[in-house]
Amino acid sequence: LNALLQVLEGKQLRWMEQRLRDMMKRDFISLMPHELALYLLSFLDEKSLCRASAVSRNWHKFACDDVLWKMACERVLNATRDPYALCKEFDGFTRINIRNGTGWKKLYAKITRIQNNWLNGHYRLNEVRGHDNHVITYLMYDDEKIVSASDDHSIKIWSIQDGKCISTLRGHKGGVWSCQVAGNIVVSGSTDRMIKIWDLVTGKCTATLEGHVSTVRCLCLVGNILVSGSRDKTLRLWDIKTHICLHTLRGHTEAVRSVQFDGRRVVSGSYDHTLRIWDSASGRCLHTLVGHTNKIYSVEFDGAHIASGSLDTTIRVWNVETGACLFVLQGHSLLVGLMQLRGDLLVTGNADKTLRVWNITTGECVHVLEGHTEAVTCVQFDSKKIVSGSIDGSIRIWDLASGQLRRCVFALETSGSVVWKLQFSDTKMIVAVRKRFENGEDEARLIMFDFDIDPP
Amino acid sequence: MAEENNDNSLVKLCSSDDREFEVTSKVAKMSVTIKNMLEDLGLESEDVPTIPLPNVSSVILEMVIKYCTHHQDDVVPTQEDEATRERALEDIDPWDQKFVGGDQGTLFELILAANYLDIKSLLDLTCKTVANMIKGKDAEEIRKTFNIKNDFTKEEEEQVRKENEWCEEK
Repeated sequence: LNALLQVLEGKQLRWMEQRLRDMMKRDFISLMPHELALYLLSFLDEKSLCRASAVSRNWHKFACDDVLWKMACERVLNATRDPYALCKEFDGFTRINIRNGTGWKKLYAKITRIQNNWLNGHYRLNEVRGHDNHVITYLMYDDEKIVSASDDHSIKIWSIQDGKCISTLRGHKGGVWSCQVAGNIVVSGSTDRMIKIWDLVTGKCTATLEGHVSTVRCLCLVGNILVSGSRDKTLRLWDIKTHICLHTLRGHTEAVRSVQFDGRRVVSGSYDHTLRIWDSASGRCLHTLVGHTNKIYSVEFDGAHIASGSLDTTIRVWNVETGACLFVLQGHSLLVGLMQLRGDLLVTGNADKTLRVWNITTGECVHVLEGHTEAVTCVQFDSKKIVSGSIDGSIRIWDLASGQLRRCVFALETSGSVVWKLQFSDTKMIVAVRKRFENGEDEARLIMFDFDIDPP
Repeated sequence: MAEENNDNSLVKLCSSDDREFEVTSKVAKMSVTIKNMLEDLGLESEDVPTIPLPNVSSVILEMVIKYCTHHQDDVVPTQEDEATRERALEDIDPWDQKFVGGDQGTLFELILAANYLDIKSLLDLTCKTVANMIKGKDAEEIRKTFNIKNDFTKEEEEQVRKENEWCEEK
């Protein structure tokens, strides 16, 4: 062999060197046992997987494998939810056949496209008139319907598909200022002091709960138990099946503005500057949380931590077991009326035009989100983004991790137009606005954003 | 104490081409496969146990022993560390990089051996090394890297391109 090498010329040697190098190469993916090839590919990011799938038929088979792309789907959505439930959300009515075939890669592609659409402002709009020129006080939607409540005394149900009004629930004699939906049941509280229970299938009021002697301002329904808070300084617990008032919770000395309930404990925030924790079984007040120096407007409670927002501009974090105040979060300069708590993070929207992200386990302010030019009216966040609406008529998307403004996703052009409420999911966003026209007239509208569209 | 004695006791590993390697039990037990075999054998025998490894050649076995000897005192990551750790391809230490820096044939044999012997850290190292050779390359560059023939028809190639379009756009 050595003798052979001696007689070869440089060109031949180089050729041989190249041949040898090629011969030492291995088509790892095709030669390895199945599981091992997949394990190797599981170290790759999605873009590399796509490129690998274009190498050869064999590589295509492995790099498109459901095992890898199911993992990718779970990764991109932070694996907080059942992946099969995700298919439903992302795939809507044209369900891809996820259980047999290379569905997970398609689903991943779809998720990526929709997330890019959010950031690039690509969506389909559907705008409908609602509640004339009255204020929309409550908004929510699920797979089938949108529910809006208004100070025009009514609640309206809209089709999520085409935005058509399915039914109008009439019966309250005053503005509806609190509302909650659970499946096909709606409960509503009004300035007429009544609570009404509605059946969405028939569109009929099935019960009227009487007892409060002033406006019912806040509601929280868990299972069959409804907790209502009123301007009459009391809270009431009701069984919505039997319509019996189980307890009247007395103790607050001013109006009850906000209530949360975890099925066991009721947490109420009042204009008397205090919060109270109540045992729902006995109706006993367990703790009175003192510290705020002005009216309390918002309460969040996840079963362990309580966050309260006040007109005194601070947020307080409390331990539900001991009633101790853990942190006083300072930084906002006006009323804290909007909050969402999720895990360790609390996002607050403020009349001072800013939003703040707080870590409630350390008490630190993680981000200050500046960009709105008027008071913030609504906020929601998920694992990646914060979406906020404002009196300035715009909707903005912020990056949760960095606190950076990603995009002003929508803006009503005429000044005087206001964003009141918003709710979003992975593929959709529904917004309630007051649209002001050139002639100065106002109109309440629902705007439906669908982000599940092909890029332009 | 008994544990330590056990670690220092010797084990013979016999490769597919009948070469024997004497290693400490601690090094040998980096392989879950060998660890299980030793446990099955029991400790009654006074002789040095011999473990036949008919799937591993002496060249590769020697490398595996070198790897295990170098890493014998490593802290085994807990299940939780594994879950939270990003599958980062950059965090390969220089000794390991050099260790897997040989030709692809050897690397391939090492992956099979690590899999057969059930040495997770070595399997991860070798798989990551190949993943790094794939990452950042387009299909043609990958083919060149591993000497793979493009066996797609024109139509299939176009279909695959369409299928992956979303990934290249921003």
